Amino acid sequence: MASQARGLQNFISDLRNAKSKEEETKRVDKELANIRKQFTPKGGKVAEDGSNPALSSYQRKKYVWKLVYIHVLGYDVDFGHAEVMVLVRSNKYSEKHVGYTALSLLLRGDDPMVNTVLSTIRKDLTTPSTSEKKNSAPPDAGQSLALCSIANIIGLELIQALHSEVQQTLVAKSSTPNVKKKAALCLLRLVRTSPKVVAGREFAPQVAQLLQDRHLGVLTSAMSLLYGLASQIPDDYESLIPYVVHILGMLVLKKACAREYLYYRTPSPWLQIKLLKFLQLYPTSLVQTPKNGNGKETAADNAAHITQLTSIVSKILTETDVSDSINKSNADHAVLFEAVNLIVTWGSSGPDHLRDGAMKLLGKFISVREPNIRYLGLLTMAKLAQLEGSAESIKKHQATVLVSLKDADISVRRRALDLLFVMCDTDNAERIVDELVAHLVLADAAIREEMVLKIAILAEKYATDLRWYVDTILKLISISGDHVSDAIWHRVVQIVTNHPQGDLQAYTAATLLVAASPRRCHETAVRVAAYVLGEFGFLIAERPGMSGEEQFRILHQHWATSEYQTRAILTSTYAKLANLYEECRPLVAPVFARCKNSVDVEIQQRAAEYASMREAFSPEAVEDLLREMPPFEDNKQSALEQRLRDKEGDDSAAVVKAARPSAAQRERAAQSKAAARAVEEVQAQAKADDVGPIEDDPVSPMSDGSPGTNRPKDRTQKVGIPREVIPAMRKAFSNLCTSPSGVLFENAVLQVGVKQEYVGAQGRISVFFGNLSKKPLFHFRAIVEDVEHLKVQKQGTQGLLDEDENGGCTVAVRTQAKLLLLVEVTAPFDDAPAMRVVFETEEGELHEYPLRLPVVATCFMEPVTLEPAAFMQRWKSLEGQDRECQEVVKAPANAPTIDEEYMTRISRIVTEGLKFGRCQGCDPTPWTVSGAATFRTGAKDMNGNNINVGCLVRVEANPQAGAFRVTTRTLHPLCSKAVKNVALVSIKLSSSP
Amino acid sequence: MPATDITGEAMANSAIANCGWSFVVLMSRQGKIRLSEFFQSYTESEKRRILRDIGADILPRAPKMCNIVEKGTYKFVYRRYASLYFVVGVPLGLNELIVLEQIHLFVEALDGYFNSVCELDLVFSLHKSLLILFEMFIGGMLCESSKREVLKSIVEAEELVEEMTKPGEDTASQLDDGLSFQEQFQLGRTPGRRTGPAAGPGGRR
Repeated sequence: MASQARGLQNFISDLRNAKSKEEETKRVDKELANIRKQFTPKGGKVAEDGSNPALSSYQRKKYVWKLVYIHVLGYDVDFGHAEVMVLVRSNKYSEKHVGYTALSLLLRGDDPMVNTVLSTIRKDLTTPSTSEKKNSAPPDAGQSLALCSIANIIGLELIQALHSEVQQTLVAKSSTPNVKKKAALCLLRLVRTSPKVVAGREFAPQVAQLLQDRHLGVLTSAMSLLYGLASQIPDDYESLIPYVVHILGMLVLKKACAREYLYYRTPSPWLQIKLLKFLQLYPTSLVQTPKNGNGKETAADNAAHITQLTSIVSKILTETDVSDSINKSNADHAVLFEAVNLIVTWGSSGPDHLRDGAMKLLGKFISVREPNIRYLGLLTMAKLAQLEGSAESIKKHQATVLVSLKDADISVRRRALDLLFVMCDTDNAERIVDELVAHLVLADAAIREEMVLKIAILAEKYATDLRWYVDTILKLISISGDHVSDAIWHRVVQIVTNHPQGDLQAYTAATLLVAASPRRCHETAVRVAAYVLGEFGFLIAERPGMSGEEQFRILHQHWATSEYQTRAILTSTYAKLANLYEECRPLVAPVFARCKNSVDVEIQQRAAEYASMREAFSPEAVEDLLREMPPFEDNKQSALEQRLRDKEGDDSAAVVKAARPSAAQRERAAQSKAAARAVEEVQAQAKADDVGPIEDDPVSPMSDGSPGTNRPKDRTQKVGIPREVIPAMRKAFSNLCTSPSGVLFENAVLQVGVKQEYVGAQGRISVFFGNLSKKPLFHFRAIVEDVEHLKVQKQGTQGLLDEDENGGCTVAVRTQAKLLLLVEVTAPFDDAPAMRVVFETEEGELHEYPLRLPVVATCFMEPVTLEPAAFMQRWKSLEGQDRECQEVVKAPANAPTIDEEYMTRISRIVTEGLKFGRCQGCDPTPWTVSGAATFRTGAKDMNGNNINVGCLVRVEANPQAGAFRVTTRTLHPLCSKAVKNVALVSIKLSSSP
Repeated sequence: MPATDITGEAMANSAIANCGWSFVVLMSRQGKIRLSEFFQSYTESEKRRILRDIGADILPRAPKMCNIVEKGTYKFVYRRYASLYFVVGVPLGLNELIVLEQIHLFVEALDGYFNSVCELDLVFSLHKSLLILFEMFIGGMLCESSKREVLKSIVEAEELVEEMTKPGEDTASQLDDGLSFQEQFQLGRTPGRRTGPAAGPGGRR
């Protein structure tokens, strides 16, 4: 053929012979230079349109073909457009042909050059025949070329200029099938770029007309167009469902299809798929009558369509078989998978037997050897898994899916991972997550990031015990730390901070400290450890090897190898440690001093600010600054889900799954709601009490958050403890810890009094609730929290102990409700049981006071009198990290100076308050007070004897510094802590006037 | 509601299900590109990235693996014929198996035209392959699924070109190029008939 020339052949041969990519590029560049030269007229005589008029038709075609060739090889071609336009404008079909092809390939819609040939394209598009020529060109040749080009160029101006012509061409009676099918797809292409060009409702009847075309090529194209349009506004095209079902019925049930459209004996699978895809846009089509504008549709017709559709899908499902021809098998299965997709979109409105059938097929597919079928089986099963009630039947295949997770093919592995993710629920979460973690060790880099993200989401979603979640994330960090994004470890921090219940925070702090202990550990682990220790390190500071100093040492060993971002976190943690533990200050100071010269501005600033904070601000302000972070706002969508969405798009089964909260999550959320309130208030009160009987460390500024500041604002409808009574409450609680009776709480409405007596491991506590207001209180309830270490028997005024919100008793004006608690302690402990008091006033105002009962460890002490030698012997034998607790407390500035009289008060605290036996002989100077006691529990050991814990305490005063040092040594760490805490609080209380 | 702004191209693309190929690339085992056509607007760097990904993700795959490779927001569906890979980029949600068969349909059409096609045919008659591609796929969507129809229109167009070119019109330039009659005959050979020299080293299917 004349349009291909020897020059082009040579060029292609040269490129083929090129030995390297560089050589090829060189040859292409040379050719481009040559063509550029050819396109530039000698003597500068350029035609109006910028082309070189001196070129012959043949040359022009040849060079344009070369450009096309170079373009197709992947090189950028940015010139020669003018010559292409000349070819397009030509009247000769051979030139036009080359021109349009080049136009399609070389130009894109935004190219202004396109506009110069707009009128030519329009003319070609609208005038079917150029039959004045004597040759017999098919009348639609030009039209076809133009349509094809428009579809490939897709420029906005082009669309605006030509969309109505394309539309007319599509529906014109004169258009040949060849033109029609091209016009349909061309229009779809335009609509994809600018949806507005077709008005759905008016256009739907015209599509209906096209759907009745007998030419299967036209039908296929029209169906593509319809699917595209309907996916945009399904409602506009719902009336066409009957047509689509009819065509599908012809193909599937009657196998009516022209021979040339059979593909390996399957009637046009392409068209079948388009039809099924269209039907997937109408998930309710089986139950709802389609909205038909003309009202001709009767219920009977509609029922007929539904029956037909059901039998079509059923036939596809049951009669698809593996055939020896891979092409036939693929085509048939393509249709089958589309049918299954349709069943999935119907969901529970579809017939049960179809759903079961689909499930059975997919179960078979995920274990076949054909990789494509297996891949699609996994993919489709993940979609099916979203349907209600499918979970159980899918779980049966868990083992098969786990096998696919180890497949050699990354695509199959990805799908298996996705399906595992989707089928995961509370029952199998631990097994699936553990399997995934185990597999992560072997997984290759390509899939690791995805696995890490999904494991993190599952662990969070289905953790019944959040400690398991923390452990899982730590495992992820140690196995594949590089893939644990910031979002993942931020989430850990968020969850740990927001769940103060139980020992999660202490557990996390301890676990991370251990994780960060080795010299080599992943930097992400250092980051989480640094943050969590800064926040919750104080909870474990009393454990052996976990003191503040140890925490600093362990974190600081990573300093030199850390990035700036990590160092910035470490800097803040150091500031918090230094604030908490005096012994850390000399360690931290030089680090800050060095960092003031850091090249990183952030670190420089932090170091400088932290270092000078103490001089610049009051101690309260410093403590405010370094206080633990308030709970994070619980965002609806976690950052991890967002990440998943970014990666997989909105429609991915995994994304849908991740967005749905799990039972464990809902339970946690509910717990958090109830507990968060209680816990927060309990905490607030604990802090209000300024006590250490509760697990907090009294001198820790981080735990000493002033109550009320962090309270959520959504409690407007409930009246809690007013802020102003908190200091008094704090004092009352502390007092009651060491005295047999007193007032625990008092405000204008209510007074709570306590009377308590203890014998050995048992105690009897009476609580009185007095109504001080002028109106009765309704639904009055007292809820005492069950704790592990106390056996509690409760008796109270009728209704007082009701759990139901509408229950409770009524407390009339000036009367009391009474609660009697009989307790027996079974194990050492260091906090106080919580009690919530809830009632309603006559105005309907709901009051809720979280209180703590002053039942602390020292209540169960029995004094022991020891000889000085025996005391010292035991004192020494109990030396050691976990048995000893020590704390220094400063007397407030306004306290009287420490003299001997003061010391007798201290001694009274020890003997009467703490119920210890004074060991006089051990105190050579008046400045120490030593005592011994036994903590009695009701628990029995193996021999049937009660288990008791021996406790020793020593208070040493430093009159010059105005400070006391309290040291406790007991057989049980919790006892040491508890005794120390009560002692500290009592001393503080005594020192205030 | 879909975008109503006529300039809102990005919005529009997300509103309407994309129902065709995004691009097609024919790449040899050695990583040479034999044909590439992008049906969507891609920047040059995006194109380069896709071509690089094909080389990295598809060529090394073992024959028994599945023919689908996920790339986040789109997928590669590919088929290997001898040493030539036909790689198609499709959006998520398109039926992968039918895309595989669309590739095969295209190959069958090429086969019908070149009478047992080989890689060399594609190299030297690139424009023919392009014509067939454009006849079968418009904007990436399958337009004609009957091989006979496709070949009929290609042959018709070719005849038209021959007829419309006046005899001798380009003779002078052809002589300049030194194209012998024999060569002309080879290049312009009629469909369905194979000529000797072109059957070179390219692997047969």
